[in-house]
Amino acid sequence: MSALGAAAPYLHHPSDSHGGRVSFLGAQPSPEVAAVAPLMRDLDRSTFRKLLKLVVGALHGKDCREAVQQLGASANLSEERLAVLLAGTHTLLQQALRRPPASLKPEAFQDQLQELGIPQDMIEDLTSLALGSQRPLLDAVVQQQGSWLPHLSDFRWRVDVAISTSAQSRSLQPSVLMQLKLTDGSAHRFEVPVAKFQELRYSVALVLKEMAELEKKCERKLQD
Amino acid sequence: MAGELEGCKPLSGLLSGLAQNAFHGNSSITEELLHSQLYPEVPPEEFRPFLAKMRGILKSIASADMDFNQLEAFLTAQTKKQGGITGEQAAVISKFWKSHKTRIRESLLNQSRWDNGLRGLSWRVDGKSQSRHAAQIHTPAAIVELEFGKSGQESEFLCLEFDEVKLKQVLKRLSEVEESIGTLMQAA
Repeated sequence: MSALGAAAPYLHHPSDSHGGRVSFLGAQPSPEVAAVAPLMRDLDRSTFRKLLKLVVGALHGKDCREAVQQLGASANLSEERLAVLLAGTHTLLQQALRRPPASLKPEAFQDQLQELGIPQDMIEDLTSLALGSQRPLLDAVVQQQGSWLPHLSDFRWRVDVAISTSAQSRSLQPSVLMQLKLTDGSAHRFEVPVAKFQELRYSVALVLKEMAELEKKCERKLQD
Repeated sequence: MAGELEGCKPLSGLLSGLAQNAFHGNSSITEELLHSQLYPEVPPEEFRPFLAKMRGILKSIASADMDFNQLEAFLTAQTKKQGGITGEQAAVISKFWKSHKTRIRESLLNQSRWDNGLRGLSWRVDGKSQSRHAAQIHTPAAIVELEFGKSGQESEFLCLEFDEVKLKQVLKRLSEVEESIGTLMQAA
């Protein structure tokens, strides 16, 4: 028995057959992707295009339940087949979109899809989605989905000077009032004393400087 | 007995105690405590008006947020008054105000702050490299934690994420605020 034993199938590196490049599908295509190719062969192109449109809608976060039912009815597809088609196409596209366009070469991409057994005309449709003009829009959606913390959507400010208060007859202290609105819908209002304001301004400038330096470092190290 | 009150050593302690009670909200510093600790030999009926006088002087100084010229003028007037203060007492009060002014002013300002105030800010810059949806993201992201709180209450924390573009916009706004403050303070 080979010393590699049960791990042997997983150690076959697809890059061996693709000139040193790892498949966008990973070391082995996931079960749903492997299962979808034979079913695709039985679909006509227009149905496949409708399916793709649905999957893209899902990637955009739309509710596709009704559309799925309509597709199943119009194309006369059983629930089971439809489920396999949706899962496989969704995973396939998701994995393709994970790669930056620069590292997804069209010939390699198409070769990998051919190896799965996907029909040529459907390969063309998939390629135009993953590498065509729609790609930047899909990337923008994906970027948004990647953050979990809220972002700032609106920032308003006001400078007040307290002339006199119940505690001090002569005050003349400026204070900054800020209102932040966030992408999660919440709003926060708070006062910033002048000393704290200076600290805030300094910190923001420092963070920006750090970000610029990090970006330079990332560009140098993480190139494909 | 008047001589006891004129002695200056305990006066500094008395002023500290008064400030704690009147400005910093420390209600455990009572009249009885100050009396027993600082002027135990003085009968209560003499101590009480003396305390009231000192309290009144300190409050006037704090309320007007006197600068040092105003302070000197005010204290000199107090020494000339009937039933006022002595020269040595004026000197102690002057020294006290000079060293405690900033803290007292801050406490008084806080008494007029009812909204959430920014207490602190922490930050971190992450280099986003991968996510479930994208294999390579070269963009740095800043995570900022803001600490707020109302006077006397516990802090709340808010965590936000910024990209470079957004943070630049924020910095621009902060510069506008800075300009506005500068203009206002020049005019004042």
